[in-house]
Amino acid sequence: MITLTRSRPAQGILEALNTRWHRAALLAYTVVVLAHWAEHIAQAIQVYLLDWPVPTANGALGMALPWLVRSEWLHYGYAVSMMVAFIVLRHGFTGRSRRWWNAAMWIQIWHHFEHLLLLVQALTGEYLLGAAKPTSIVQLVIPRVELHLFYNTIVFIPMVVAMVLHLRPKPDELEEMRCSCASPRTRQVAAVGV
Amino acid sequence: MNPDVAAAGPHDHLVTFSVTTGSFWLRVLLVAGALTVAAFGQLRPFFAEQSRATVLSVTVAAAGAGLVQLLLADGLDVPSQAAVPLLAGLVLPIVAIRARVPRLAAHARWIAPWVLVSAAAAGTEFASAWLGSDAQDRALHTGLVIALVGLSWLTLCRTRSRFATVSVGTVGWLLGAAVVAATGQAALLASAVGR
Repeated sequence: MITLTRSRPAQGILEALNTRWHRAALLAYTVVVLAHWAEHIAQAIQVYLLDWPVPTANGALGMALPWLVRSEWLHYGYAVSMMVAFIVLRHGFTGRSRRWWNAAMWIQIWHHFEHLLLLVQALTGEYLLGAAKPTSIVQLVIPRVELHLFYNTIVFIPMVVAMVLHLRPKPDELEEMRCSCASPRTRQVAAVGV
Repeated sequence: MNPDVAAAGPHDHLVTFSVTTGSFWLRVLLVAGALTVAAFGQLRPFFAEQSRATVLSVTVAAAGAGLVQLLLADGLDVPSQAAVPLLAGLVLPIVAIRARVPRLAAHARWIAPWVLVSAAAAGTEFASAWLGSDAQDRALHTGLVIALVGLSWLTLCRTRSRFATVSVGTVGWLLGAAVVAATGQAALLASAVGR
């Protein structure tokens, strides 16, 4: 009989990412997410505070490399990377933080699906319901003003809540944790049993 | 600067490919998905209860075909916002089957025959398309999406009375037949206009 199991190296990396490397992985992930936010905030400042014409407001990196902002592949790549990180790193979370992380993960899975739909439209030249440009499903109901920012916000908030709760777990949650993410003070309190 | 780029804002998801793949593969997916769902609708009255895998495959095929319909359609006979509840109608059966929550499944089964019967409204769209409507393409795609929603929910139907069993089977069979005809016509119309 043939059984399908995850190969050992992959299993080992997944295990490490959710245990001894969990803290480092979450830190790296947060840096990437904040850098993405910084680009969007830079764009918003260029448009709303500096009154730059919208087509030229490309954020910080986009000023040097405009194709970065306009590449559908880049947008899609970022959405996929975020989704994969949410899925891979979820095992390290326990209790309340796991619930918040799962909520962020499912919102990101939907966000990724919307990006995939946009990518398919860009690839085939067939736009949703005959629209003039690639259109996402939510755009049918909510006009695109800054829909992408909205999506990032509703993913970011539960993600931050999950991380904060993960750093400050309750004693029962701390017992289940196999990573070193809990703050030293939380560990101290749990050890004393206060 | 490219005029399209100049007209759009950052993050406006412009077409950034110099060459596109065209829509042929979408039409192939549409025909494959819609025919799978139609076959289920037509064969269901003659078979015993289907496995979870079969039911899941059919609902996924219906959702995929419904989404491709919306990509290939120039518009619907209903406001474009109606596409959102229609898509939700295609996704909910998948959720109900995958969730393995008995209460959710029971609710879904209770609603299923009513959704199926409501989807018979697709008949008016098909009639409009086949009896010389000016917006034949829109009517066809609208009818197809509604029919796919109905056939997707057909997978969840569990009837008790003989009347309900015959009614559900008949509506499912008719919707399946209409989907086969409409899918073929929609694919041919798209080819005829060189898409």
